[in-house]
Amino acid sequence: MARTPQRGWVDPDLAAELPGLELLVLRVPGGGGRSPAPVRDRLRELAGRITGAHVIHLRQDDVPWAYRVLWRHLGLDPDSDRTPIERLMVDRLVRGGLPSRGLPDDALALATLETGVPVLAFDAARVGASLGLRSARAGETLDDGPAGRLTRGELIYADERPLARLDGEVAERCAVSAATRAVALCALCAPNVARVAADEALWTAAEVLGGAGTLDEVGPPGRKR
Amino acid sequence: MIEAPARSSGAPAPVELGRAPDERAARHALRGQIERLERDLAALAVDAWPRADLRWTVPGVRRRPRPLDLGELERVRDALAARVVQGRAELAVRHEREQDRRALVADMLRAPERHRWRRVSNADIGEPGCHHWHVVPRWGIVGALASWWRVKISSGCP
Repeated sequence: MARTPQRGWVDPDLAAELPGLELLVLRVPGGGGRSPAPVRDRLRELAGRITGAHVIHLRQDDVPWAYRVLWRHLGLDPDSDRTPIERLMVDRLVRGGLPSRGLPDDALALATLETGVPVLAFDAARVGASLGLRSARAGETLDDGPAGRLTRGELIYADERPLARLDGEVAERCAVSAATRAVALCALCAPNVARVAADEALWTAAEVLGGAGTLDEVGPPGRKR
Repeated sequence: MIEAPARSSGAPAPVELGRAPDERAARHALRGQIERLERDLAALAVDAWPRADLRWTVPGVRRRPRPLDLGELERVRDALAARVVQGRAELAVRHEREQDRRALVADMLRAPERHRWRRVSNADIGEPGCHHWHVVPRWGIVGALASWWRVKISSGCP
């Protein structure tokens, strides 16, 4: 397993168009399943810190603002198609809490809520060695069926094939399941977002997924639980 | 002979990244303007809280995320700029009206008999919460006949 996040590729035309857009990948041991009690406690504590005023001011904070700008640059309205951090925050207000959805979802939610950086998880055994960002090609699909059809030019996570949409919808064939033994975590780093924020998001998710004793294996040198 | 693929719908052609280097600088400049306008809009939305009836949405130009061409970026920039200008104007009108209402509350407290039965809510002065100031007579009809008025301040949300 990689000890530090690796930089994924970004299609050169896309990189030229959106300088600063990056994908960081960290492969860690872990899989799907019920979240342990400490993770559920952490979600509960985090939910208690999110207030309406916090959500109102969120759009002015540097990292959430950078994703709002990215959404605008990609033709979306972040108040309708919410950025991942805003979607989680608004969900928290609407539901009155952050209910546990199991792993890896809880790990990804914690990472995103604590850093503002969206993180996705794939079954590491079911994706290629090299992950990146590119535009979808004509006729490509995420999954079988009309819902899985990708729009030509749509920004997607990919290896040799499309893996996920930008909004976090992951192809079923590479989604993390109970049988998963290792997870490929991907942090989407928008232009104007410091690399350290994306690293922190990945380490947070890795820590939650890995449980006791795993952080030292996957975390940065010198970082202790 | 190779036939060009026919376009099946009236949708605009997808941007050919890398094919229009002369436009790249213009697109970059537009993205910079969109960044600044999004910052302005975010600041306005925060300033406007808790006036929940003010809307800050600017419709997207795409249903799916993709790099925009020059025309689309211009549309986003123009829509954002219009929203910022409109939002500032709406907020300025609100501030003026709320200032008047605050002055009214101060006057109600000074001389309630001049503002009989007037009622001003927190929303009227741009504050969160749901309590209000209401000029009512002391002891009901007796106070009304004797011109004994007072401002009753509600305790808040039910």
